[in-house]
Amino acid sequence: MFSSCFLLVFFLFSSCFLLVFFLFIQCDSTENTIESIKKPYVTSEKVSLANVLSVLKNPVILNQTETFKTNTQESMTQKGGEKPNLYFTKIVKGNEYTTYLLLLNSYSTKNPYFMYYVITQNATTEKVGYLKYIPDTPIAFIDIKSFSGKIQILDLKHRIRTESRILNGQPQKQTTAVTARTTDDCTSSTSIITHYCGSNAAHSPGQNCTDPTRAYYEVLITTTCPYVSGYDNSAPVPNEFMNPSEGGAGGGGPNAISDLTIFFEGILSPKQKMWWDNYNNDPQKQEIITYLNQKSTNEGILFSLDMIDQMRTNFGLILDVDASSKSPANIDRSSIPHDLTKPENQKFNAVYDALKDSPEFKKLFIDLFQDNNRFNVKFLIGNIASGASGDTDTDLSNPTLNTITISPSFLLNNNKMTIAKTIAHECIHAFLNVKLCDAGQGMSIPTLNNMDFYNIVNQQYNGFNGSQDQHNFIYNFMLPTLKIILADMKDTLVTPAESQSLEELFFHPISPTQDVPFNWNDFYLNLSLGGLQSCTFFQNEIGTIIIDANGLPVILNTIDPVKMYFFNKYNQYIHDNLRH
Amino acid sequence: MITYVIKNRLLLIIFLHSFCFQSYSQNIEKIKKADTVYIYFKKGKGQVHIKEKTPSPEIKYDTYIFSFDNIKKGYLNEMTILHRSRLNHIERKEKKPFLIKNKDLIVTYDFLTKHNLSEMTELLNNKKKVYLINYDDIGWFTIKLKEVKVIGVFKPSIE
Repeated sequence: MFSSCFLLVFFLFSSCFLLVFFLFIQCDSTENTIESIKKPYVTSEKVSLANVLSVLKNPVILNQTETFKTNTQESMTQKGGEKPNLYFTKIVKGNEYTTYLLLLNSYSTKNPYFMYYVITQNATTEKVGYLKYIPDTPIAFIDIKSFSGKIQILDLKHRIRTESRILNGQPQKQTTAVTARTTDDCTSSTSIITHYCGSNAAHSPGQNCTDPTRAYYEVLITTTCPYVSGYDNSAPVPNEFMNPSEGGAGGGGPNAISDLTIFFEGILSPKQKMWWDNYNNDPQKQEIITYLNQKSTNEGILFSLDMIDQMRTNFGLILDVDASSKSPANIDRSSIPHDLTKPENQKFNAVYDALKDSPEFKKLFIDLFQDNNRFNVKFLIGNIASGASGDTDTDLSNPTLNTITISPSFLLNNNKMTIAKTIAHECIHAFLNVKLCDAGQGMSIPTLNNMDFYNIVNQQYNGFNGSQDQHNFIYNFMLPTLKIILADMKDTLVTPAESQSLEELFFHPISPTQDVPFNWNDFYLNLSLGGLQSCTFFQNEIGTIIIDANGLPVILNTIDPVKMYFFNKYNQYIHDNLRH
Repeated sequence: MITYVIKNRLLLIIFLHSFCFQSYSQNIEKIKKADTVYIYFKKGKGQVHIKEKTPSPEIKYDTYIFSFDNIKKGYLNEMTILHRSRLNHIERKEKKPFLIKNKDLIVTYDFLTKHNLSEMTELLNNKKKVYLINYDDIGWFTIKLKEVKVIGVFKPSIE
């Protein structure tokens, strides 16, 4: 029962629930903007249950909060039977009030809603309630921008005190008598939290700081409605609080634990949680949090879980989460740090960063094989005994583990387009190695009339035992994909001056009087053919090139003089015209 | 006296003009150390000059090809020398004695083809400036130098 004389509280959640974005501001920018908000008026941090209990004064709220120590409520049981995370998110708004939030339930078939326990506290009053999101359709997490469903505020006896209907993130007019008069009564305000860099909080965003945890801003929008419903004498329902949600806060801050992070921690299995809580994994954990904040979808969550599982089960594997999310495989670049004293590292990472921006690279194997299964690739820079530019080694006892080694002299002496081609080329070897080892998979190749992978390999390529069999496969099936990947990266890796110098080239494959102008399609094709010159199909269709005792290339046999001419000329021009 | 001077000048001009037809044994060590080298080109056996089509008459695309002799080895053994006026490849004029003064830094077709193509390409590509002196651009009193880029051998990588 609610008394009409009581103020009606309505939490307009679409606003209250917030826009959290954090600006990872590199230290050389936006100094002027920063000054005005340096003072941390609103702060957020993660605090323990004991910490919360120690500050509560209202005995009813204290008793209720203490029940989480034993935590027997069914709704609080997480997947795998684990106890929920009992860290509260504490948000302090200056000396006005403090909000404590605890995620009690994430969406499941059995309990199809999200539930938070909320306490607000100011100098004189403590209020408590439950915040419940009931989505119209199953969701893995709450994205307030697209949320459709009901948001309810409950008192301690789980009675609905207010209910708001949200459609595609927009609050709808109220229809029930127990709620706020109209959503138009509510107002919103914005607060900014500055998360400082370094353990002594000496650096704000925009300032130089060597600490791996960079400074950032967290923006909260809080909406308060002046008309509130009745409340129990001893435990009033809060009429205003803040929630660092939407994609989740945190990002770089160890203390900024968002709802999304809390949700994610809640769905981890015990083994995943053990990995997550190991401080040695903090850098990768932060990468995952950052990734989740950018990709807070079901797909993003599943990918993050896979990242944890791969690192957890493959000792020594340190995945680059961002690079992996944009690559056809899980990528470990930990052996190639951004080291200014090592130009080969700089060059490799610059190329890989461009490569992962190519949409075609990410789906390298999907078009041909329609295969989304991922494997792990660890990149190394090191000398290769055979004198090759790149080499792929697959662990036969665990075929999902591949090591791709790129020669440092190759990196130093070649342009970035050629390096990108070689990395993609080696990734294809890794994929084929994995498939070769996984005979039970029964994979088919849809574009080849659904021929079984093993049949086509065995019938046409004599297995992958010979050194050039994979190259034959690449020659026949992967060149179109390689060309698209290179085309994706051209604007990043080729300077305008280099483009111009290439576009002013002419070829004379038939005679000096017959000009054939440069074209990019031939450029991508002939660049992609590099490294395949020893395979049977190349030799049968174009010709045979060997390297003589002096290290010089010699054409032993030419089958197609025009193709041979273009292969050599394009690659000469690429080598000599592209210097970066 | 006047007759003597005129005679001597005439002899000098005849000597300088005939310089271009001779093959000098350049010192490779000097060439390696130099920032700028000059390639002497004369259309003929193993040496081809192609004037490419350009978007407008002010723009010049000249391609010079030195064939490194062995036909069986085909196109791999070509050195391509490019002059592209749009890429700030400058042209400049010098007086004829320039040839004498820089004779040690002028490489000829005979000199280049006596060496390994990739070695020569690398040598020329490491210079700050490479100019081409075309026999057709040598006048009685002046010569024309064209800045060029050298494209050499492609050695396919093992992958």
